[in-house]
Amino acid sequence: MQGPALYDQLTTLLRTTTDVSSVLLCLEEFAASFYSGKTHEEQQQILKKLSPQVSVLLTEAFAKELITPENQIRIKRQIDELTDKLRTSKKLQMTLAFQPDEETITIFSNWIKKNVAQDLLLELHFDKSIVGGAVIIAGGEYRDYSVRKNLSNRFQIQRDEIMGLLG
Amino acid sequence: MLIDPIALIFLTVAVTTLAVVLYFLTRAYTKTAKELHELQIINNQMQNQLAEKPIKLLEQAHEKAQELIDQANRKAAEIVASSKTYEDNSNQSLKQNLAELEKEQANVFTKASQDMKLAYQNMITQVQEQDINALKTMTKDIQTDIVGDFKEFRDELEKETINSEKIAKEKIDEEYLVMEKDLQEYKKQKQQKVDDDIYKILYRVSEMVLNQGISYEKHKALVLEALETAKKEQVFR
Repeated sequence: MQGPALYDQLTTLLRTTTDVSSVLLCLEEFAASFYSGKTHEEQQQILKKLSPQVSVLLTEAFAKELITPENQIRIKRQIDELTDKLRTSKKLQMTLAFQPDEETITIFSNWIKKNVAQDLLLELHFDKSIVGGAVIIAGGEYRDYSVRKNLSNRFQIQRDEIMGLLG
Repeated sequence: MLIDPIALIFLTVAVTTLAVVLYFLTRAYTKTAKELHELQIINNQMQNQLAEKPIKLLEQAHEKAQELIDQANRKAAEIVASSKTYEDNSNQSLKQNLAELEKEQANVFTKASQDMKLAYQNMITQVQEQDINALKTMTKDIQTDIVGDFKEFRDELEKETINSEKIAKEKIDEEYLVMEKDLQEYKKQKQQKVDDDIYKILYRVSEMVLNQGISYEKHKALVLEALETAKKEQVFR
Protein backbone atom coordinates (compact mmCIF):
# COMPACT_ATOMS: atom_id res chain seq x y z
CA MET A 1 0.00 0.00 0.00
CA GLN A 2 1.62 3.23 -1.15
CA GLY A 3 0.94 6.83 -2.25
CA PRO A 4 -2.56 8.35 -1.97
CA ALA A 5 -4.11 5.29 -0.32
CA LEU A 6 -1.67 5.41 2.57
CA TYR A 7 -2.14 9.15 2.97
CA ASP A 8 -5.95 8.82 2.95
CA GLN A 9 -5.86 6.06 5.53
CA LEU A 10 -3.42 7.95 7.68
CA THR A 11 -5.36 11.22 7.68
CA THR A 12 -8.46 9.30 8.66
CA LEU A 13 -6.60 8.21 11.76
CA LEU A 14 -4.91 11.52 12.51
CA ARG A 15 -7.06 14.07 14.33
CA THR A 16 -4.95 17.17 14.98
CA THR A 17 -1.82 18.95 13.76
CA THR A 18 -0.15 17.75 16.98
CA ASP A 19 -0.74 14.15 15.85
CA VAL A 20 0.78 15.01 12.48
CA SER A 21 3.84 16.54 14.15
CA SER A 22 4.36 13.30 16.13
CA VAL A 23 4.12 11.23 12.93
CA LEU A 24 6.56 13.52 11.12
CA LEU A 25 9.08 13.26 13.97
CA CYS A 26 8.85 9.45 14.04
CA LEU A 27 9.19 9.15 10.29
CA GLU A 28 12.23 11.44 10.36
CA GLU A 29 13.82 9.32 13.07
CA PHE A 30 12.89 6.15 11.19
CA ALA A 31 14.48 7.40 7.95
CA ALA A 32 17.61 8.44 9.80
CA SER A 33 17.93 4.95 11.26
CA PHE A 34 18.64 3.56 7.76
CA TYR A 35 22.18 4.88 8.03
CA SER A 36 22.77 4.34 11.75
CA GLY A 37 23.17 0.56 11.78
CA LYS A 38 20.03 -0.08 13.87
CA THR A 39 18.43 -3.52 13.73
CA HIS A 40 15.07 -4.10 12.12
CA GLU A 41 13.40 -4.51 15.47
CA GLU A 42 14.85 -1.25 16.68
CA GLN A 43 13.55 0.49 13.58
CA GLN A 44 10.06 -0.95 14.17
CA GLN A 45 10.19 0.22 17.79
CA ILE A 46 10.51 3.81 16.56
CA LEU A 47 7.14 3.61 14.82
CA LYS A 48 5.53 1.98 17.85
CA LYS A 49 5.80 5.28 19.72
CA LEU A 50 2.71 6.41 17.78
CA SER A 51 -0.91 5.38 18.44
CA PRO A 52 -1.50 1.65 17.77
CA GLN A 53 -3.55 2.13 14.61
CA VAL A 54 -1.11 4.60 13.09
CA SER A 55 1.85 2.48 14.17
CA VAL A 56 0.43 -0.61 12.49
CA LEU A 57 -0.34 1.31 9.34
CA LEU A 58 3.16 2.81 9.04
CA THR A 59 4.90 -0.43 9.99
CA GLU A 60 2.95 -2.22 7.26
CA ALA A 61 3.93 0.47 4.80
CA PHE A 62 7.63 0.96 5.56
CA ALA A 63 8.99 -1.49 8.12
CA LYS A 64 7.47 -4.75 7.13
CA GLU A 65 10.42 -5.82 5.07
CA LEU A 66 14.02 -5.55 6.13
CA ILE A 67 15.66 -2.27 5.17
CA THR A 68 18.50 -3.05 2.83
CA PRO A 69 20.74 -0.88 0.64
CA GLU A 70 18.64 -1.99 -2.31
CA ASN A 71 15.22 -0.85 -0.99
CA GLN A 72 16.12 1.92 1.41
CA ILE A 73 16.19 4.59 -1.32
CA ARG A 74 12.70 3.68 -2.47
CA ILE A 75 11.35 3.62 1.09
CA LYS A 76 13.01 6.91 1.86
CA ARG A 77 11.39 8.47 -1.21
CA GLN A 78 7.96 7.14 -0.14
CA ILE A 79 8.45 8.58 3.34
CA ASP A 80 9.42 11.96 1.87
CA GLU A 81 6.33 11.99 -0.33
CA LEU A 82 4.11 11.17 2.62
CA THR A 83 5.67 13.83 4.88
CA ASP A 84 5.34 16.45 2.14
CA LYS A 85 1.64 15.69 1.84
CA LEU A 86 1.14 15.72 5.59
CA ARG A 87 2.86 19.09 5.89
CA THR A 88 0.56 20.60 3.24
CA SER A 89 -2.63 18.93 4.46
CA LYS A 90 -5.75 21.09 5.07
CA LYS A 91 -6.29 22.43 8.57
CA LEU A 92 -9.18 23.84 10.57
CA GLN A 93 -8.05 26.25 13.27
CA MET A 94 -10.25 26.23 16.33
CA THR A 95 -9.81 28.30 19.50
CA LEU A 96 -11.49 26.89 22.62
CA ALA A 97 -12.06 28.26 26.11
CA PHE A 98 -11.13 24.94 27.78
CA GLN A 99 -8.46 22.25 27.49
CA PRO A 100 -10.18 19.23 25.86
CA ASP A 101 -9.16 15.69 26.77
CA GLU A 102 -8.30 13.05 24.15
CA GLU A 103 -11.84 11.72 24.02
CA THR A 104 -13.26 15.19 23.39
CA ILE A 105 -10.63 15.87 20.72
CA THR A 106 -11.68 12.62 19.03
CA ILE A 107 -15.33 13.69 19.16
CA PHE A 108 -14.53 17.04 17.51
CA SER A 109 -12.27 15.38 14.94
CA ASN A 110 -14.84 12.77 14.09
CA TRP A 111 -17.47 15.46 13.65
CA ILE A 112 -15.19 17.34 11.23
CA LYS A 113 -14.21 14.21 9.28
CA LYS A 114 -17.84 13.20 9.04
CA ASN A 115 -19.34 16.59 8.24
CA VAL A 116 -16.54 18.41 6.40
CA ALA A 117 -13.65 16.32 5.01
CA GLN A 118 -11.90 13.07 5.90
CA ASP A 119 -8.41 14.52 5.59
CA LEU A 120 -9.13 17.75 7.51
CA LEU A 121 -6.93 18.22 10.58
CA LEU A 122 -7.73 20.19 13.68
CA GLU A 123 -5.35 22.90 14.90
CA LEU A 124 -6.44 23.59 18.45
CA HIS A 125 -5.71 26.74 20.47
CA PHE A 126 -6.69 27.66 24.02
CA ASP A 127 -7.98 31.10 25.08
CA LYS A 128 -9.89 31.39 28.33
CA SER A 129 -11.11 34.90 27.53
CA ILE A 130 -13.57 33.69 24.94
CA VAL A 131 -15.56 32.21 27.90
CA GLY A 132 -17.07 29.33 25.88
CA GLY A 133 -17.88 28.14 22.37
CA ALA A 134 -15.24 28.40 19.65
CA VAL A 135 -13.52 30.76 17.24
CA ILE A 136 -13.14 29.00 13.88
CA ILE A 137 -10.79 29.78 11.01
CA ALA A 138 -11.24 27.54 7.97
CA GLY A 139 -10.40 28.15 4.31
CA GLY A 140 -9.61 31.80 5.01
CA GLU A 141 -12.92 32.37 6.80
CA TYR A 142 -12.99 33.70 10.37
CA ARG A 143 -16.01 33.14 12.56
CA ASP A 144 -16.41 33.94 16.21
CA TYR A 145 -18.93 31.62 17.85
CA SER A 146 -17.64 32.30 21.33
CA VAL A 147 -19.77 33.05 24.39
CA ARG A 148 -17.81 36.29 24.76
CA LYS A 149 -19.03 37.42 21.36
CA ASN A 150 -22.62 36.39 22.18
CA LEU A 151 -22.40 38.19 25.49
CA SER A 152 -21.03 41.29 23.86
CA ASN A 153 -23.80 41.26 21.26
CA ARG A 154 -26.37 40.78 23.93
CA PHE A 155 -24.99 43.66 25.93
CA GLN A 156 -24.93 45.89 22.87
CA ILE A 157 -28.50 45.06 21.92
CA GLN A 158 -29.92 45.20 25.42
CA ARG A 159 -27.71 47.96 26.73
CA ASP A 160 -30.51 50.37 27.58
CA GLU A 161 -32.48 47.62 29.23
CA ILE A 162 -29.45 46.55 31.31
CA MET A 163 -28.66 50.10 32.26
CA GLY A 164 -32.30 50.58 33.21
CA LEU A 165 -32.08 47.57 35.51
CA LEU A 166 -28.97 49.07 37.09
CA GLY A 167 -31.10 52.06 37.97
CA MET B 1 153.16 121.84 -16.20
CA LEU B 2 152.76 125.38 -17.42
CA ILE B 3 149.62 127.49 -16.64
CA ASP B 4 148.40 129.83 -19.17
CA PRO B 5 148.90 133.36 -17.78
CA ILE B 6 145.54 134.46 -19.13
CA ALA B 7 143.83 131.74 -17.28
CA LEU B 8 145.74 132.55 -14.20
CA ILE B 9 144.67 136.13 -14.32
CA PHE B 10 141.10 135.13 -14.96
CA LEU B 11 141.17 132.79 -11.93
CA THR B 12 142.64 135.43 -9.71
CA VAL B 13 139.99 137.96 -10.70
CA ALA B 14 137.28 135.42 -10.14
CA VAL B 15 138.50 134.48 -6.72
CA THR B 16 138.77 138.07 -5.72
CA THR B 17 135.27 138.80 -6.94
CA LEU B 18 133.89 135.86 -4.98
CA ALA B 19 135.69 136.99 -1.84
CA VAL B 20 134.17 140.45 -2.13
CA VAL B 21 130.73 139.03 -2.64
CA LEU B 22 131.16 136.73 0.38
CA TYR B 23 132.21 139.65 2.51
CA PHE B 24 129.12 141.67 1.67
CA LEU B 25 126.88 138.73 2.25
CA THR B 26 128.33 138.05 5.68
CA ARG B 27 127.96 141.66 6.66
CA ALA B 28 124.34 141.81 5.51
CA TYR B 29 123.58 138.67 7.49
CA THR B 30 125.10 140.01 10.65
CA LYS B 31 123.13 143.19 10.34
CA THR B 32 119.91 141.38 9.78
CA ALA B 33 120.48 139.16 12.79
CA LYS B 34 121.05 142.13 14.98
CA GLU B 35 117.87 143.82 13.82
CA LEU B 36 115.93 140.66 14.50
CA HIS B 37 117.25 140.47 18.04
CA GLU B 38 116.19 144.02 18.73
CA LEU B 39 112.75 143.39 17.38
CA GLN B 40 112.40 140.42 19.65
CA ILE B 41 113.26 142.56 22.66
CA ILE B 42 110.69 145.19 21.66
CA ASN B 43 108.12 142.50 21.15
CA ASN B 44 108.67 141.14 24.64
CA GLN B 45 108.33 144.57 26.15
CA MET B 46 105.09 145.18 24.32
CA GLN B 47 103.71 141.87 25.46
CA ASN B 48 104.46 142.73 29.08
CA GLN B 49 102.77 146.08 28.69
CA LEU B 50 99.74 144.54 27.14
CA ALA B 51 99.43 142.05 30.00
CA GLU B 52 99.43 144.82 32.63
CA LYS B 53 97.11 147.33 30.87
CA PRO B 54 93.63 145.57 31.16
CA ILE B 55 93.87 145.25 34.94
CA LYS B 56 94.48 148.92 35.21
CA LEU B 57 91.64 149.64 32.85
CA LEU B 58 89.29 147.45 34.90
CA GLU B 59 90.24 149.17 38.10
CA GLN B 60 89.63 152.53 36.52
CA ALA B 61 86.24 151.44 35.15
CA HIS B 62 85.19 150.10 38.58
CA GLU B 63 86.03 153.34 40.20
CA LYS B 64 84.05 155.30 37.61
CA ALA B 65 81.09 152.99 37.95
CA GLN B 66 81.07 153.33 41.74
CA GLU B 67 81.05 157.07 41.37
CA LEU B 68 78.14 156.91 38.95
CA ILE B 69 76.16 154.65 41.32
CA ASP B 70 76.72 156.96 44.22
CA GLN B 71 75.57 159.90 42.18
CA ALA B 72 72.47 157.99 41.03
CA ASN B 73 71.61 157.03 44.62
CA ARG B 74 71.88 160.56 45.77
CA LYS B 75 69.68 161.70 42.90
CA ALA B 76 67.14 159.04 43.62
CA ALA B 77 66.97 159.96 47.30
CA GLU B 78 66.32 163.52 46.30
CA ILE B 79 63.56 162.46 43.89
CA VAL B 80 61.95 160.19 46.49
CA ALA B 81 61.97 162.93 49.04
CA SER B 82 60.34 165.37 46.65
CA SER B 83 57.72 162.81 45.51
CA LYS B 84 56.75 161.99 49.13
CA THR B 85 55.88 165.62 49.67
CA TYR B 86 53.90 165.64 46.44
CA GLU B 87 52.09 162.45 47.44
CA ASP B 88 51.03 163.86 50.76
CA ASN B 89 49.69 166.95 49.11
CA SER B 90 47.90 164.94 46.46
CA ASN B 91 46.32 162.61 49.02
CA GLN B 92 44.91 165.42 51.00
CA SER B 93 43.49 167.07 47.90
CA LEU B 94 42.05 163.77 46.64
CA LYS B 95 40.41 163.06 49.96
CA GLN B 96 38.74 166.43 49.96
CA ASN B 97 37.55 166.00 46.39
CA LEU B 98 36.27 162.51 47.11
CA ALA B 99 34.37 163.67 50.17
CA GLU B 100 32.67 166.37 48.15
CA LEU B 101 31.89 164.00 45.34
CA GLU B 102 30.51 161.45 47.76
CA LYS B 103 28.26 164.00 49.30
CA GLU B 104 26.97 165.09 45.93
CA GLN B 105 26.37 161.52 44.83
CA ALA B 106 24.54 160.75 48.07
CA ASN B 107 22.24 163.63 47.49
CA VAL B 108 21.61 162.53 43.91
CA PHE B 109 20.99 158.91 44.93
CA THR B 110 18.64 159.96 47.74
CA LYS B 111 16.60 162.02 45.38
CA ALA B 112 16.58 159.32 42.68
CA SER B 113 15.65 156.70 45.24
CA GLN B 114 12.73 158.75 46.50
CA ASP B 115 11.53 159.29 42.94
CA MET B 116 11.85 155.62 42.10
CA LYS B 117 10.13 154.61 45.32
CA LEU B 118 7.21 156.83 44.52
CA ALA B 119 6.99 155.60 40.95
CA TYR B 120 7.26 152.02 42.07
CA GLN B 121 4.53 152.45 44.67
CA ASN B 122 2.27 153.95 42.03
CA MET B 123 3.07 151.10 39.67
CA ILE B 124 2.43 148.46 42.33
CA THR B 125 -0.89 150.01 43.22
CA GLN B 126 -1.85 150.02 39.55
CA VAL B 127 -0.72 146.42 39.01
CA GLN B 128 -2.56 145.30 42.12
CA GLU B 129 -5.74 146.87 40.89
CA GLN B 130 -5.28 145.26 37.48
CA ASP B 131 -4.48 141.88 39.08
CA ILE B 132 -7.53 142.04 41.28
CA ASN B 133 -9.71 142.78 38.31
CA ALA B 134 -8.04 140.05 36.22
CA LEU B 135 -8.37 137.57 39.07
CA LYS B 136 -12.03 138.39 39.45
CA THR B 137 -12.60 137.86 35.74
CA MET B 138 -10.48 134.71 35.73
CA THR B 139 -12.33 133.25 38.68
CA LYS B 140 -15.61 133.78 36.93
CA ASP B 141 -14.23 132.22 33.71
CA ILE B 142 -12.78 129.24 35.57
CA GLN B 143 -16.01 128.75 37.45
CA THR B 144 -17.96 128.79 34.21
CA ASP B 145 -15.47 126.44 32.49
CA ILE B 146 -15.34 124.02 35.42
CA VAL B 147 -19.10 123.89 35.71
CA GLY B 148 -19.38 123.25 31.95
CA ASP B 149 -16.59 120.63 31.96
CA PHE B 150 -17.96 118.94 35.01
CA LYS B 151 -21.41 118.71 33.45
CA GLU B 152 -19.88 117.31 30.27
CA PHE B 153 -17.76 114.88 32.29
CA ARG B 154 -20.77 113.77 34.31
CA ASP B 155 -22.82 113.20 31.17
CA GLU B 156 -19.94 111.27 29.55
CA LEU B 157 -19.40 109.24 32.71
CA GLU B 158 -23.07 108.36 32.94
CA LYS B 159 -23.06 107.39 29.28
CA GLU B 160 -19.89 105.28 29.60
CA THR B 161 -21.12 103.66 32.80
CA ILE B 162 -24.36 102.66 31.16
CA ASN B 163 -22.48 101.30 28.12
CA SER B 164 -19.99 99.43 30.31
CA GLU B 165 -22.78 97.92 32.36
CA LYS B 166 -24.52 96.87 29.20
CA ILE B 167 -21.35 95.33 27.69
CA ALA B 168 -20.46 93.63 30.97
CA LYS B 169 -23.96 92.22 31.24
CA GLU B 170 -23.80 90.92 27.68
CA LYS B 171 -20.36 89.42 28.31
CA ILE B 172 -21.50 87.79 31.53
CA ASP B 173 -24.55 86.39 29.79
CA GLU B 174 -22.36 84.98 26.98
CA GLU B 175 -19.87 83.50 29.43
CA TYR B 176 -22.70 82.07 31.46
CA LEU B 177 -24.16 80.39 28.40
CA VAL B 178 -20.73 78.97 27.40
CA MET B 179 -20.12 77.76 30.94
CA GLU B 180 -23.55 76.23 31.14
CA LYS B 181 -22.93 74.47 27.83
CA ASP B 182 -19.49 73.25 28.97
CA LEU B 183 -21.00 72.10 32.24
CA GLN B 184 -23.72 70.19 30.45
CA GLU B 185 -21.11 68.65 28.14
CA TYR B 186 -18.92 67.74 31.10
CA LYS B 187 -21.87 66.24 32.93
CA LYS B 188 -22.78 64.29 29.84
CA GLN B 189 -19.22 63.00 29.42
CA LYS B 190 -18.98 62.06 33.06
CA GLN B 191 -22.34 60.34 32.91
CA GLN B 192 -21.24 58.51 29.76
CA LYS B 193 -18.01 57.43 31.43
CA VAL B 194 -19.86 56.22 34.51
CA ASP B 195 -22.28 54.33 32.25
CA ASP B 196 -19.40 52.82 30.26
CA ASP B 197 -17.49 51.85 33.37
CA ILE B 198 -20.55 50.24 34.94
CA TYR B 199 -21.24 48.54 31.65
CA LYS B 200 -17.66 47.26 31.39
CA ILE B 201 -17.70 46.08 34.99
CA LEU B 202 -20.97 44.35 34.47
CA TYR B 203 -19.74 42.79 31.25
CA ARG B 204 -16.53 41.62 32.89
CA VAL B 205 -18.43 40.20 35.88
CA SER B 206 -20.73 38.36 33.51
CA GLU B 207 -17.72 36.93 31.70
CA MET B 208 -16.14 35.78 34.95
CA VAL B 209 -19.36 34.25 36.26
CA LEU B 210 -20.01 32.48 33.00
CA ASN B 211 -16.42 31.31 32.69
CA GLN B 212 -16.58 29.65 36.08
CA GLY B 213 -20.11 28.49 35.67
CA ILE B 214 -19.82 26.62 32.38
CA SER B 215 -19.30 22.89 32.88
CA TYR B 216 -17.01 20.72 30.80
CA GLU B 217 -19.97 19.06 29.10
CA LYS B 218 -21.49 22.43 28.42
CA HIS B 219 -18.17 23.55 26.84
CA LYS B 220 -18.19 20.49 24.62
CA ALA B 221 -21.80 21.12 23.64
CA LEU B 222 -21.06 24.78 22.89
CA VAL B 223 -18.14 23.82 20.60
CA LEU B 224 -20.25 21.28 18.74
CA GLU B 225 -22.99 23.87 18.48
CA ALA B 226 -20.43 26.32 17.05
CA LEU B 227 -19.35 23.71 14.50
CA GLU B 228 -22.96 23.08 13.51
CA THR B 229 -23.56 26.81 13.10
CA ALA B 230 -20.43 27.13 10.98
CA LYS B 231 -21.64 24.28 8.82
CA LYS B 232 -25.02 25.94 8.40
CA GLU B 233 -23.32 29.18 7.48
CA GLN B 234 -21.22 27.26 4.95
CA VAL B 235 -17.91 28.23 6.51
CA PHE B 236 -16.39 24.86 5.40
CA ARG B 237 -16.86 25.24 1.67
